[in-house]
Amino acid sequence: MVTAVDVLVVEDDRDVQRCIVAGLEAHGFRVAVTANGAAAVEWLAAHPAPRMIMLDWFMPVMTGEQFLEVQLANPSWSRIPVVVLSASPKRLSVGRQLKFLRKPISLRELVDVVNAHVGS
Amino acid sequence: MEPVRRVADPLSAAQRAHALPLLACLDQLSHDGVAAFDRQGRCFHWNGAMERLSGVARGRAVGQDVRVLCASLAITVELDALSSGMSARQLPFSGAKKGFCDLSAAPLALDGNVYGGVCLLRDVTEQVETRQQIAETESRFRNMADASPVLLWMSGADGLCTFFNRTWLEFTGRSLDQEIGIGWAEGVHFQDFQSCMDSYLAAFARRERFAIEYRLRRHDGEYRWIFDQGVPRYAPDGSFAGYIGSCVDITDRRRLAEDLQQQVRGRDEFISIAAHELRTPLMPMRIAVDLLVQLTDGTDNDLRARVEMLDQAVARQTETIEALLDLSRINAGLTANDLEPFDLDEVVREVVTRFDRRSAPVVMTVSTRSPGSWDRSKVERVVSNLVTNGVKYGDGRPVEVAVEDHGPRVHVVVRDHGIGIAPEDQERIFQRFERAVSVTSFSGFGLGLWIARSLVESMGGAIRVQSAVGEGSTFTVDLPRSTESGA
Repeated sequence: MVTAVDVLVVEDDRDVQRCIVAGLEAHGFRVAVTANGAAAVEWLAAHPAPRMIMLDWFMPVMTGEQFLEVQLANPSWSRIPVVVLSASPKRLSVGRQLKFLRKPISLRELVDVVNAHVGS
Repeated sequence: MEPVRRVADPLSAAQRAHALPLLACLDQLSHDGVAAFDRQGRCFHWNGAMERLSGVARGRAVGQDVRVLCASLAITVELDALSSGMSARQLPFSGAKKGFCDLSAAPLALDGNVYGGVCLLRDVTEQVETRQQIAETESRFRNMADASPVLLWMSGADGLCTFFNRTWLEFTGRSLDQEIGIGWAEGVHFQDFQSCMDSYLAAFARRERFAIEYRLRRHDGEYRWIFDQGVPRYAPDGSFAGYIGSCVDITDRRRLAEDLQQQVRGRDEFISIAAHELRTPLMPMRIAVDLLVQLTDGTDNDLRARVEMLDQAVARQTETIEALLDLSRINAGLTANDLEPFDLDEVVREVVTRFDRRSAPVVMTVSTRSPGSWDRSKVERVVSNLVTNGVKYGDGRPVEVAVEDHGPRVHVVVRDHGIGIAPEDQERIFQRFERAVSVTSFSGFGLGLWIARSLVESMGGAIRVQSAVGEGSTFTVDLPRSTESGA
C-alpha cells in the first residue's frame, strides 16, 4: 500500500533538491522529488496526492508556470496547496495568490512553511 | 493727321439744361475723379473728387490743359490716348494724396463728331496696399517656412495638401507639383501607409491635433522615421481651413531609444540570470549549515565553533550578494514597482523573524494591521537592510521594529540603541559606499542605507534618521499606502 507523501518537491537543481529533502526529512516529513513540471505531472498521475507541492519556477522541459496550468486543469490536483520557491529576482506573475519564497531560505522558514500547509 | 474740326459747343440750350444738373448730381455722388476736356485738351469739367485727389481747385483746372492737370497728379499721358479711349490699372499718382489709381478715358462724341474726352480716375490705393501686404505676408511666411529646419506642409479644408516648404521638397527630392494633393503619400512606407492615413483622416474628421510617426522616403531612397504633428487652422471668420503640419526626422532618436531599450533589456536579463545563479547555491549552503547548527546544538566543542563560523559566513555572503544585486538593478534603472496587495505588518514581521540571531535580538514593538499595495520584495529588502544596519551598529542591544498606521501613509520604524550617528554624518550615510565609522571597525560595502533609500524613493516614499551619538539611531520609512505602478 502506497501512503501519501507530505511534500512533492519540483526542482531541477540537484543540490537544492537534496538540501530540501534532508531538511524536511530531518523534521519528520515524507518527501518525494521530481526534476521538472512534466516529471511532476507523471508522478502525480501515479501516486496519491501529496499534501503540498514545493515548486521551482525556472525548470527545463516544463516550467513551474506551465505545471500550474496543468495542475489547475485537473480537478483531483487543483486543490493541492503550492508554494513557489525560486531564485528569480522578480515576483512571478502568477494568476492566483500563491505563497512565494525567494531562495535562499533558512531551514526554519522551510519547516515553517511546510508546517503551515501540512500541519503536524 | 486729319485736320480737326473744332466744335465749340455742340449742345443745344435744352440739352445743356438737362446735362448740367445731371453732371452736378453725379459730381456729388462720385468718389471717382472725373475730368472732361475738349479736342485741344482744355479742361471744361473737373469734379469734386478730382479736386480732393489732385489738390487743384475747379476754378484753376477749368481751361487748363488736361495733360498739365494729369502732370499735377504725377501722371504722364498723351492727349491722343485720352481722346481715343484708354484704360490703365494701378498707376501711381501723387497730388493732394499719394497712392494708386485706375485711369480710364473715353471719347466724347455726338452725332459722329468727337469733340473731346472724359477721363475717370479711381483711387485704388487701399486695394493695392492690402494686396501688397498680403503678398508681403505670404512671402515672409514662405521665406520662414523655407528657412525652417523642419518639414512643413499645409492642407485645405478638403484634406488635400496645398503647400510644402523647401525643406520638405529637398528631403523628398520631389517637386511641389508632385507632392501637392495626395502626391506626398507616395513617399510613405507601405507598412505605415494605412495607419498614417487612418490617423490623419480620423483627426481631420474631428478637427483635432494629431501626432503620428511614419517612415517617409528620402531623396536618396532611404526611408526615414518622421514625427508629424498636425494642427487644425481656421480662417479669420472662424471657419475650418485645413491643417498645418510640421515634421522632424526622428530616425536617429528612435535608433538611440531602441538601442537603449535593448541595453536595458540585456542588463535586466543579465542581472536576472546572475541573481538566479548567485542565489541558487546559497540555498543548499543555508539549509546544510542550519542542519549542522541543529545537530551541534547544545555541544560546546571545536565543531560547534566551526559551524558558527560557517553560519556567519553564509549570512554575510547572502547579504553581500543581495546588496550587489540591488545595486545592479538600481544602477541599471530597473526600479519599476511590482505591486501587490498585502499587509505591511505581516511582511515586516516575516523579515524580523529571519533575524533570530545570537548577535542581537530583533523585536517587533508596535504592530498595526496595515493593508496596502507595495512592491513586496522591495519592502523586504528595505526592512532587511535597516534591521541589518541596526544589528551591526546596535552594540548587541535589542533592535526594535514598529509598523505605524498614519492614514494615507504607513511608517516602518527601526530603532537601535547602539553607537549612534553624529549630526554631520546623518545625510552622508545614505550615500553610496559611505558609512559614519571607519572601514576597519565594521565590515561591508556601505551600501545598505543607500539601497534602502533608493528603494523607498522608487516607491514614492522617504526615509529619515534621528540619532544621537552613544544613544542609538531611529530610522523611519515613510511610505504612501499605495505606490503608483511603473517606476
